[in-house]
Amino acid sequence: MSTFFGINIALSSLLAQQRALDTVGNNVANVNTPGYRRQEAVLTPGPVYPPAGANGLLMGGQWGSGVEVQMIRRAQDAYLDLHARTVHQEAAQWQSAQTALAEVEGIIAPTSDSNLGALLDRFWNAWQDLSAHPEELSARVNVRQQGITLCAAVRQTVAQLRESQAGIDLTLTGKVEEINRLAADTASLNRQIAAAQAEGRQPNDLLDQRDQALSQLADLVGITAFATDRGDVIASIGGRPLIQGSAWYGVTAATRPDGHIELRWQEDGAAVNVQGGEVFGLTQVRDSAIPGYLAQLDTLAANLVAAVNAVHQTGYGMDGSTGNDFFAPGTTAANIDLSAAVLADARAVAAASTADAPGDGSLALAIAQVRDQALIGGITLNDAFRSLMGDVANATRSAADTVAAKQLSLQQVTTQQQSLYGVSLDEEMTNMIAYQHAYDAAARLMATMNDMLDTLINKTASP
Amino acid sequence: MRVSTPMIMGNLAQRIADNAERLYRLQQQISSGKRIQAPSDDPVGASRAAQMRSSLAQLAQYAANVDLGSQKLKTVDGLLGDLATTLRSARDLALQGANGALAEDSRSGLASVVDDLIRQVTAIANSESGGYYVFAGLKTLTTPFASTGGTPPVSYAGDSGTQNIEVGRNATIVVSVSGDQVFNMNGAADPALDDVFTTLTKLRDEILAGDNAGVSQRITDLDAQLGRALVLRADVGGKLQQLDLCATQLQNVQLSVQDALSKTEDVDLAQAAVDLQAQQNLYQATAAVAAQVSQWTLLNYLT
Repeated sequence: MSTFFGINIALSSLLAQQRALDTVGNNVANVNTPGYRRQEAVLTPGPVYPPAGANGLLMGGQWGSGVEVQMIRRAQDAYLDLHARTVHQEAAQWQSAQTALAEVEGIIAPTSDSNLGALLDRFWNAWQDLSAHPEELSARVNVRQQGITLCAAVRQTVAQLRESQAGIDLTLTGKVEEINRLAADTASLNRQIAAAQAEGRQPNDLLDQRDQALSQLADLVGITAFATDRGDVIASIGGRPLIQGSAWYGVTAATRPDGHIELRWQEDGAAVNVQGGEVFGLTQVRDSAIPGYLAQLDTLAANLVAAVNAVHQTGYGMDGSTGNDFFAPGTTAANIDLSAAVLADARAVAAASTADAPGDGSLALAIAQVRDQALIGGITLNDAFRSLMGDVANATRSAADTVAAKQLSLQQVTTQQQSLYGVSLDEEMTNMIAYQHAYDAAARLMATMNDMLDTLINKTASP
Repeated sequence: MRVSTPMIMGNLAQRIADNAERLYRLQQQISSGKRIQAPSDDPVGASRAAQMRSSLAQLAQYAANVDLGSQKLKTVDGLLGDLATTLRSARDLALQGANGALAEDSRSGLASVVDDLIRQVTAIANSESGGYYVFAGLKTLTTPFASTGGTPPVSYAGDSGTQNIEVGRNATIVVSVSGDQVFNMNGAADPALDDVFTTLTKLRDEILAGDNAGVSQRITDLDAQLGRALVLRADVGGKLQQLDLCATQLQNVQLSVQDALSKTEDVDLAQAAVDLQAQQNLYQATAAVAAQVSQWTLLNYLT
């Protein structure tokens, strides 16, 4: 038992309290750092002296040898992290879907007076007007103008919806780079973490970074991730691994036969089965919502063209011509337009059911009455537009409601994480006082030992 | 629960953002006067509002049609009135002409007055309104009546078509009378009767010839022609009343649809103002709490 044993105990405490204070300092410094999780110095008694089996009997038992820092522990709850990732990727999925749908809603159902429903109304009214003024060229010019405006609006709607799809394609292409970068980062972090842990070190900051990267990946494409016994994380998309230890498998943006972008595995070109995150939300809107609306617009346009043309062909124009189509036949919503005859000369617009009867507006009236005919599955063209608008509104609404619900869960889980992982300044200050006092006491112990040695050495010296 | 520093701040920031968003929505509603900013705000309400706006557009067109129909029928009514007056004058002349003791020059005087009446009737028959012939059937750009100088004395170039306007869903009303009906051209209205021009021409010739039997037959004919004109006029009058009724009904429906539309998509200002005040209070309270919370820390007590 050395005379200096006590000094060593004091020293161990000085060192341990200092490290604990450093940890407090690091926590305080990172109080606002995103993804930072509070750390704490885990203090443990030093090895006892003498070790078991030595001649402890002679010494009357074992002595403690001071304190040491066993580890700098990082706050963690694997289950909470898993749950948080799920909530995050669902929220991200619906958030992106809602944003995309709100754009679609603005395209199909602007609240202004210029939506397709209002333009249809004006179109029918123009025919009514013509039926009341069948002799007038201006009424025909008006019918033609309303027809041109309506066609342009339908085409514009289709073009904007397709632009919206193309915008989603562009976004997806951008996401691919982000996914690959995060996958590479995570794989590299896996390697560094494994190396550090093999050396018995505690790579807290690397773990923070990896959790951050996984959370971002979940937001992007929805991943399932779990940690192995070795401390690696395996993350997969749709059941296929994206990151496995220090290896990662890249994805690429490939063009599908229909011209849209999809994510494929670089390795074998198979489609990535994305089931969550922003990519999933956007893909859903692009591949199921928008095509549905486009099909509805096509049905509407085809029925409008067929119904008006069928009546118009039987009529007589101001120039005596008959058999003319009003709309170019066989067009879809993407290329709907007026017939060449009507575009070339407004007098070809028919108002009369009989030849040589300029005062006859009965055909124009018959076309105006197409408005109230049940053409598409028992509903009128105006109803069909309203039903399209209703579908878009309901989809957007339901996405918004889901986002609100997911936001609530997100808030809850974020609060839980902050509660568990966040730095509390009050707590750190309290710890700081505790460690500081312990440091003071250890220093005082050191001074006392010094005094004792002074007594022993100087006071026993021969005069 | 353990409360960490970012948790307090994060929650406060979230609450303030939520409140700000609700404030923004209310302000938007109030400033635009519309409860529904986008259809997704209320899909059912937005769909009903769209339907009602569509109805309003249709109703406005019907109202315009009714106006136009009334104008057309009023023109016809006036012309039929003129025709009746002219026919009455012709009947009066016929009564004078039926007096067999008339001197030859009196008879020719009467005959020339009948000629004037024929010209008047022709003018009525060829009346234009807004540049279009009223009594030409559907051939409104063709002068319908022309003197032939033979038999029949006036020919008809119009047709028997009539103009219809829609005044309600699939409810149409006839707003014209074709010339062959009015003047009984080719016996279109009454095959047993001459056309008006033939009747008048015969009357003139019979007065000139002193054919009393003929003239008294013309008086009977003129009574029949006058009777037909009055029946037509009564019919037109009936339609005018019908259109008036339509206009009133359309106005009522328009008002009620407008009212329903307003209830569907307009914001209840009183309610919105109350909501806005409540939201502002909440916002202020949250901000006050935020200001307070940031002052509480152990650091204040450590020296």
